[in-house]
Amino acid sequence: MRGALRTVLVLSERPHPWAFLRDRLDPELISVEWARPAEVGAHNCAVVPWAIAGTGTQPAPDLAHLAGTLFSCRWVGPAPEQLPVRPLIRPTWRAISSDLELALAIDLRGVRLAPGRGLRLPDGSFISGVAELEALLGAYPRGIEMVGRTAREAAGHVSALIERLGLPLRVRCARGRVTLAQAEEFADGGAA
Amino acid sequence: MVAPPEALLLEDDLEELQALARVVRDAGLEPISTLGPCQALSRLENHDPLLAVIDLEMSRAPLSERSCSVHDVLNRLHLRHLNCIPLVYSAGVETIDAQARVYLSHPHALFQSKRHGFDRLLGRIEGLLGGNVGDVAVRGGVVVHLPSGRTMSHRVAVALLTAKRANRSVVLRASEARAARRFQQWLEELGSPVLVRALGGRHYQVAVREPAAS
Repeated sequence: MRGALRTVLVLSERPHPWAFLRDRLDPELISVEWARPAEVGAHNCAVVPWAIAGTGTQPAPDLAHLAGTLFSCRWVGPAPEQLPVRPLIRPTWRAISSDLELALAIDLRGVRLAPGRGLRLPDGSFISGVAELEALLGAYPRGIEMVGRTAREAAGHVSALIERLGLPLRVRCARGRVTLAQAEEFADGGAA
Repeated sequence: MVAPPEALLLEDDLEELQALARVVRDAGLEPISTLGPCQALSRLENHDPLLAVIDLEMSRAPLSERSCSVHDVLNRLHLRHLNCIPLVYSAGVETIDAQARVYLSHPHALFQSKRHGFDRLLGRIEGLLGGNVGDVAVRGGVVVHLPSGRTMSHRVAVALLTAKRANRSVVLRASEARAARRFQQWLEELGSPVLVRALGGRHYQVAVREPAAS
């Protein structure tokens, strides 16, 4: 289940990275939640986040239910085994903050993240219930590298959603990585 | 007549409590003033405030109030009063560890340091309760369409605007969702760029419509 508002879940033993991101990211676009890796299940932040950012190698077993779900993941330093998506390793929390600021501001053919949750479309209207598309938009252009054999199915869901909404976007899926692309970029890419 | 939205005030200093009550009343809300956490918990049994202003330090609270803590109040707000916005002000929220302790009781609490003075706290409350969203604003406890001066007094409309000022959504029951739809119709009739968005899972938030991209 996705939460009501777009969330980045900070996984760390100490709360300082949570406060760091909370004070830097636009609160209109994102809510910053925090949990110690071993205690994720005890928090209401265990709902599917838009992104996860973490540090340390302590396993977070309660994240297992997120397998097959699209969200981006960034990590400072070595990451634990068995995260549901392959994390992008970053040197510092400042780098993660910069990444997320850019991700929140992505405008792809006029499609942007709406305040709170959902997308703002080129005609100025809003849509809700498109969390996987929000996650992929925030991960543009790198995409999300999924673990296991779940990527093609996830890409298929988003592809169907894009078609239903008539958006000028496409989804590419290759070697476990799901990527959002503009329709023109897609001419020679592999379909989902 | 529609009852004004309420604000829970938890402050162990009587003078500051009275000053807070004046600010809240000036903003058109009905203050629920309490001098200790037990009183606050008791009042929450029968009230559903829109805003809670909470002092973390209760050193001046009467002994009878010591059997429960401010964190119990925050936790109650988090679990049962989903649309209440808690504003925690204290000299003790300056460290990240202190903020993290509050977070564990209520993950969506806003912080205001006492070091910045009482006037800043009052300004923060006024900002939450009186700021504009597009061409509408809460004035005197009701929503006002600023260009026309027309008003909407339903508490759901007030809650939606106040939540937007705090970057929150509101959770609505079916009857309240009908009020949200009426609010949306009212906004449309007035030609306002503000709209009520259903975010899913009974969560709603207002947004400002932008012109179509060229």
